[in-house]
Amino acid sequence: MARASAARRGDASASTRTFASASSSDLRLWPSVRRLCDEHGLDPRALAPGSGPRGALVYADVLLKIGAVDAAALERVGLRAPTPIPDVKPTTLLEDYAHGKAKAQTHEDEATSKMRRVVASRLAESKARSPHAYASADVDLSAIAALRKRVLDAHGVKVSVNDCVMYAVGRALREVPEMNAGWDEAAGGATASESVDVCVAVATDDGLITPIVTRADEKTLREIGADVKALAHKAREGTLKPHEFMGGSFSVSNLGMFGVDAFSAILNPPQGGILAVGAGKERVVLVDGQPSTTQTMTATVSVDRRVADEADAARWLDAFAAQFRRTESWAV
Amino acid sequence: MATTTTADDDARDVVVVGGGPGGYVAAIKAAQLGLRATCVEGRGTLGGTCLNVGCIPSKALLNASHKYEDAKHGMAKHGIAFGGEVTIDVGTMMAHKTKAVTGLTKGIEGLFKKNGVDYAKGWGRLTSANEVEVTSEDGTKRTIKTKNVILATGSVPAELPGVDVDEETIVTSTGALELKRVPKTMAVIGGGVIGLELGSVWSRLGAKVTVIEFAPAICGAGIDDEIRTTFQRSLKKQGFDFKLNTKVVSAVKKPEGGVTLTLEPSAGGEQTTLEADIVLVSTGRRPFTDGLGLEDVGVETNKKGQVVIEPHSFKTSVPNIYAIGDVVEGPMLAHKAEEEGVSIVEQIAGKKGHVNYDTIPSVIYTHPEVAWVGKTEAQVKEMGIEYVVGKFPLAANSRARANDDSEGVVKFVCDKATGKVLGAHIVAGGAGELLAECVLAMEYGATAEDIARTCHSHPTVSEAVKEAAMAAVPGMGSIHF
Repeated sequence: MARASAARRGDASASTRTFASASSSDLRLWPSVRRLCDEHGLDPRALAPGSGPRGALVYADVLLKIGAVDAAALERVGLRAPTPIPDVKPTTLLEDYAHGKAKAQTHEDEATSKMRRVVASRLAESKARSPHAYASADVDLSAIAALRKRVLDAHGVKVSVNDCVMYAVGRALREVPEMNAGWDEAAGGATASESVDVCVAVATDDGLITPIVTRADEKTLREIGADVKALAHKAREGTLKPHEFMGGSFSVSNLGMFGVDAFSAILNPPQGGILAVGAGKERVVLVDGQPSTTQTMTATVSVDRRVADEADAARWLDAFAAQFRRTESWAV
Repeated sequence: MATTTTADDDARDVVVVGGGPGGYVAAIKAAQLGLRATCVEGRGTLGGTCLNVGCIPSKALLNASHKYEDAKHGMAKHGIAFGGEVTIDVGTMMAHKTKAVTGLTKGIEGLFKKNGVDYAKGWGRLTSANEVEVTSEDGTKRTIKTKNVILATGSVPAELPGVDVDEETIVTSTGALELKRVPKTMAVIGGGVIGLELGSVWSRLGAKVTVIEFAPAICGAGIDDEIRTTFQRSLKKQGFDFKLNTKVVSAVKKPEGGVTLTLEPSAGGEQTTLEADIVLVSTGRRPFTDGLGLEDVGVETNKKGQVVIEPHSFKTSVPNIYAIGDVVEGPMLAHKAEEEGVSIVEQIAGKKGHVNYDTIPSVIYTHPEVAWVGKTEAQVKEMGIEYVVGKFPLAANSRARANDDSEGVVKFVCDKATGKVLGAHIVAGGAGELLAECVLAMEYGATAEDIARTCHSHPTVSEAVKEAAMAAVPGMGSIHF
């Protein structure tokens, strides 16, 4: 046992650290919990609530955390180990609200659904754990209107501005693979994703769910549009299969339809990046020193600073914006 | 007979039938939460078995007899001498006991007045799911309308076939608390808590006590084997004789006084006899529901005579009728009844009430006392859990030695994998008080290390608890033993 060996070594520093650390007056901590956390450099607050009665943090919770016992050991003595949180991705894309397809949110005190609780918990964890860095750029949308018209005329298919965003995101991720990676907690390092699978949020009665457009870097604009439509329908019907919404290497969040100019999104762990796009707006720009107007939208990418750095984010943002300057070469 | 019915505006939120620890606590709690509460009790005094013929009088006599024994046998070594012989006047002792009891029962009446609980003196009977009929001593009946009923009618001593109780020579605990003189010999049928405690009283005062127990061991299944052995050894040293694995076939009163008991091995065999001045029948207690009208209203009872309830909600088979305490399943303990009384009233008032049955302690008030909470070593073994035991003898505790009261042991049983305390067992003077710390610890899922690393005053007997906890931590161990 770690503690016993410390005593044998005559390691006085270990016990001094125990006395000096985490003030026990503001946390209700059992001495054994305080000691073991100190010995392993763990913050007991991050372990709460525990599996003891009324959520009390007990020694067994710390043992479980350091891998000294398994969940079965807790069950045997009536301690309920906290249930692992399923991998559901939250984002803030509200396309369906804009199209009036989502249920209007009236002000009722409804019990938080299991999904919302999971989402809330994951978001909190993400913001606390991942060091978020941000980069923004204004993207020229002037060619998009023409592109969408072209696709409608040639193929009779409507593609949305967001479908175009998804297309550009996919291509940019292929160009800057550093942004198509995630943080592997267990391995303690960044892991590149094998494929470019982009999450897009859909609002359902149970909350937001994020179906995945797989191989977004390979698909045509129409294929992406069709995928998003189909996934959104399944999401609202509640017929998405787990593999259709659990996973993904990157996420897109679009608040444009609410007139939001710019915002920053929270990463969906373990993904290393998420793009937040605002509304396309007519803005005044200078062309050859002369004032002119053009349609732009502000794109803000959040990056997990452990996975990629601001330079990677900048290069990616540049690649993303560049896509909008060469829509003639898009695979529609 | 005049019958009065309460007008609808007098309808109660809760009528509690029974004024014992479960009932009176529930009634007071209900009033404190703003409910209109009535408590029905026909005994003439409040407090139930506990206050009148149970916990309190027995503890009063245990205290008095302990003082007598200490005065008679425990003073010389301290250099203390009395002029003459130490004697006991049973009448005075009983009067003092009665004074303590009366003070407390009147105290409950005072609490009722203070909290606005209506005290309905008489025996209650259910006439419908929302009506309780109270019959007072002079025969007048009164019907109380109510939204909810809590049955807290408790228990009474169980009968033993072949042994007829007259509460004079052949007594239950009730009669044993009122003996006129110290018997020369006393036979206690049933080696459980009640028999051993009352046997202790009269043994200290000079009686030769023989305990006859049907099972192979005293105290039943809930006590740890090692603790039981320590305890029995102590009682033997105090002069108790034990006849285990023995049943009583018949009891015959002798014309000159006293009783002849016919004994037989529990499994059958050769019969023997035992003479005793007084016979105490303490083979257990049964739930009391006589005259309650349960069948008329449809409240279900089981084979043991207990009112059937849904655990934790205390609901009976009739909506809005609840039951708690000795009249339902579970340990027949006053504090269990009190916990349940508070819980059901909180639920009726729309709050959450919860009883944790895993941390209900048990105490035997002999000297030394025996107290325990949680699982015994045998029970943990049966669960298939790998466990660790930590023990500490009272003889190694400095305060206990200084006080000349060092008989006993503290024992912890803990889960090996997580260190969680599964059971705490104490034999010691004041074990009941010493256990409280262990109950609190278990209430929050503590390990033995948590108790071990909490500062305990020196010199106190509670350090024995700390040291036993230290002994239960692998790699730590106690310091003073």
